[in-house]
Amino acid sequence: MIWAHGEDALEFLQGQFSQDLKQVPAGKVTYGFWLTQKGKVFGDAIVRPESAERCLIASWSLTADALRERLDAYIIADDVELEDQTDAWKGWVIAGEQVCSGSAALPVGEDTVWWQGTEEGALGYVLAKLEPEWPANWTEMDESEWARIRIAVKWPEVPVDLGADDLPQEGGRHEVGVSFNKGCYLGQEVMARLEATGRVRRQLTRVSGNGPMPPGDSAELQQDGKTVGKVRSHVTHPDGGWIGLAMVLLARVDLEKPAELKDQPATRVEFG
Amino acid sequence: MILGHRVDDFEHVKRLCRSFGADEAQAETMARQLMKRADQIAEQRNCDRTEAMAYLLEITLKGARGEAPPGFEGGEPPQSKTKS
Repeated sequence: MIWAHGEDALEFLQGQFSQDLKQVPAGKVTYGFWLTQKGKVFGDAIVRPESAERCLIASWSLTADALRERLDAYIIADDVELEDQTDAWKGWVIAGEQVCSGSAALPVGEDTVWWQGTEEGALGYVLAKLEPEWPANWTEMDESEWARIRIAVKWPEVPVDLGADDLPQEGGRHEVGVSFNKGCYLGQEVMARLEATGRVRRQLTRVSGNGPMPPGDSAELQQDGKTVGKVRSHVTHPDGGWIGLAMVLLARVDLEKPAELKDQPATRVEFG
Repeated sequence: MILGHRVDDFEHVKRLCRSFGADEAQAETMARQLMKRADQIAEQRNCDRTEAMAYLLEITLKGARGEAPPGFEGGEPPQSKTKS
């Protein structure tokens, strides 16, 4: 958690963040990316602009130190200071069908921040200084349940599923996290060029397997002996087998055919 | 080296900003901010204030010329030397 404050706080962040912060009503929250100049994902965050002089930043993918170091490098003559507030806040991920409607029951205000997530409404983020009073019918979930839900809606975890070598478009998150109508920000040229003229060469895709889980952190997928992608994250499924997200090479993969894990050829992997 | 020894001279920094293309009001704001930022960088990176100001002014000059400052080529900022 970082407070960005100073006369140029919003203006400075506008030049760093992939979303149009000036279009966000004061006190509302938006999701977006911190990109490199080449448009690759450095990290993601939710940002709540309080005013032109004060913005709250929360990231699950970056530590406060990492984000401050990154933003600090670009503060030249801007009147903005970055204050680490991590110890003063707690964060939760929330998931389930009621996220969109159920989140209306959460307390809102200066000390509570929530982002209701994707249009599917399946997940969101909540931050507060004190734990909110959750609706009575909400239950605590473990990491596996969270993984199943986010994989089911293809919500990539940064940097595991979408990281330093990846574009937001490859994770299918550009519609949620990137504004194509705002002016200059770090990585904007690549985003605009890709939006106007190009298509990505890789895509994050849901996969499922009926055998042992993929070995290691990034299991190579093959079809007919050729590499077609890599499983980036996976979790067991209650029905048996496992589900995951894989980054596949669009020019090589046949999504209608099963694949196999290079190091575990007995495991059959289906796409979708 | 752009400055020499006059990094503490607000008017000197302001004149430099004017030479980069800023008008009077902008140059005054930039000079004030650059001096404040130089103090912050000197504290964070445990370096001399002269070095910090020279770094900032080089970036400003390169930016005014449309050139990538040293260390910013390739899309990543230089690693900061933060104080442990």
